[in-house]
Amino acid sequence: MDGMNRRAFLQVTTGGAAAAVLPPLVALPTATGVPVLFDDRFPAARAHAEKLAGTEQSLQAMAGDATDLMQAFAAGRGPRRLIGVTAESVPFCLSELAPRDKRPRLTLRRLDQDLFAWHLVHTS
Amino acid sequence: MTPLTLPPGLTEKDFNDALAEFRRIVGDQYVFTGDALSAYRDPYSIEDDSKFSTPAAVAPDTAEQVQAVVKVANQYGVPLWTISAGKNHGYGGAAPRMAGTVVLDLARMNRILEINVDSGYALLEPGVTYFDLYRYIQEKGLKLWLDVPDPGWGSVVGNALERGIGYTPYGDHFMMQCGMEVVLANGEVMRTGMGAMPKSNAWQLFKYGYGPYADGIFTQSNYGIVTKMGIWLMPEPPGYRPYMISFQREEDLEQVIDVLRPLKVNNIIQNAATLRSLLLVAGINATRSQYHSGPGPIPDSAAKKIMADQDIGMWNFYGALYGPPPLMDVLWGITRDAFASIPGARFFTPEERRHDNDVLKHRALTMRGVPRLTEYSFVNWVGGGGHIGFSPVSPINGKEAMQQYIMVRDRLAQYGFDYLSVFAIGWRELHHVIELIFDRRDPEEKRKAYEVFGIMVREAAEAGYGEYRTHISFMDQVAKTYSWNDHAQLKFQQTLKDALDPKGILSPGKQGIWPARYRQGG
Repeated sequence: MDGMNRRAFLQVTTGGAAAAVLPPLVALPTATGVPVLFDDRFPAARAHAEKLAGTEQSLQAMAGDATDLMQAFAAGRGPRRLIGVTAESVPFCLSELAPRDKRPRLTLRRLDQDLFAWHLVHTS
Repeated sequence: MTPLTLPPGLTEKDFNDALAEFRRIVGDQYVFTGDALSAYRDPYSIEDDSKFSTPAAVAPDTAEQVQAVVKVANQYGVPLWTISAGKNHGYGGAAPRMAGTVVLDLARMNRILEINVDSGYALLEPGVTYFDLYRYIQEKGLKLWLDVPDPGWGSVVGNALERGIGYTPYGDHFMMQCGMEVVLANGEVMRTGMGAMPKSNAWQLFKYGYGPYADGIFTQSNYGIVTKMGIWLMPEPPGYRPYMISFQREEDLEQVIDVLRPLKVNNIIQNAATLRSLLLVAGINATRSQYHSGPGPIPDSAAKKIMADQDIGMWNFYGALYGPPPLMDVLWGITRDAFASIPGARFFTPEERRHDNDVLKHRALTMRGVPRLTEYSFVNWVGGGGHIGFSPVSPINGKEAMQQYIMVRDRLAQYGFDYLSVFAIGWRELHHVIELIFDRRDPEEKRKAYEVFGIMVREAAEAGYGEYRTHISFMDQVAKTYSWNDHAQLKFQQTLKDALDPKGILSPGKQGIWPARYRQGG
């Protein structure tokens, strides 16, 4: 699996009406050596990211404008994979920016009303 | 995976034969089927996805390939839905209006054909995005500015064709368009304006050429496929000063708009400025659940807390000054004095904003033509990030703006949605763009969004407010609101459609214009 650790990483904390319509949750793959991004405007994001990172990975805070990161990733200039705990627009934009025939594979898991844990990897 | 829907009236064999022809024209790897079609879904659809599903996408690389694809489509009767960057999010994204329509994806046609610094224009193919053009201009060190919408990932050509808007003095994108190359439904290619004259060197300089002005009929339309377009670019000004003015009370809207009108009409406000509601500004850096977890719209107490936390108003005006410093000084003096008449108005420069992620700091980039994705964060307001845009137009008039605001606010509140909007200030009108934010994973939220949107289209029309652009789910309904003299305009549009595209292959249903082939219950 391209150097990935396959391990379950978070207890499900999703609640509320919206959660009922989610598909069954699956374990999200993580990768050693890839920092876990988290949106530091959400206190819960850091806590989730710390659990996700464990002792093997570092954390990287982001807030607000991720345009430059998004462009670099989509263009293949940045890392081949990204892991994060943010609101949904971040992985959505990361994925949408890539050419339609080279979209990265997105695995997404809802943590609460606002936050999603996600993993994006370029496969082409 | 949505089941495959074939183009109406086609057998599977004919469809597969047409795909084989498309592959021969563009290459195997640029005809997409199966799982690859997920990129052509509307991520924010509020109806069953199957209603807007595509069975294939074809991505040509040149105008000649577009011509060849169109000829095959005519031969087999395959409908084509043209997209460029495919980022028309909030209005349908890359998805076609009619199930079974093949997407004609022009993203590979992404050449910057010419940039003229002295005359301030670019000639572009439709796949060029704002990011592409901005990067090119920066790398070459050209003294030109773009005008960008928010977010800036879309196609320059596509946005102008949809009559989108930006935030510099060049904010009316179709107004800044000059000259097109268009592949017609019969496969012929033509150039508009001065481009129709073989030796003319004014294609991107004079819009109108000779005879009837054709370019407008290729915007928000399905009469042709634009393969090249000129767009005017703003020379880098000698000075630039972005600013924000916040207004504290809901009812200030009326006075703000009335103060604004003479400033805009007399060009004291130079740019396509915007007046943004509390929650649209707040939603870029916060979410609803951080302030209110109950049902129904945000209560006043939470609104006050948001205003204090983010140091913003119930209404927030973002504008900018451009030009030599003495000119900006004069314009700012007039603007400041006019808005200071509104009690509680507060004036800010970016340097005076205390938060790193403050929206004025973001808008200071977009009002000078730097494309960003920052604003897209507002889709996170309720979690699960869905949105569609409701966009009625009105005069720049305080009473009208208040009437629209109350009408929309109350109707959204009835359905449990918050009011997030921007009034974009045009040359003589207001685009009141309301972002209806919903959880796209929640079927009940989507159902309510669909229902209230349809009601708002009807109620707005009854009050005389028409939408300037709409989501694919509502294109027919909105078209029918432009009904003066027994729908004379729509009849004219249909007449043109049937004359230019008798087999009805180009973007059926776009903006409510159906070809005869599909018009009677097709």
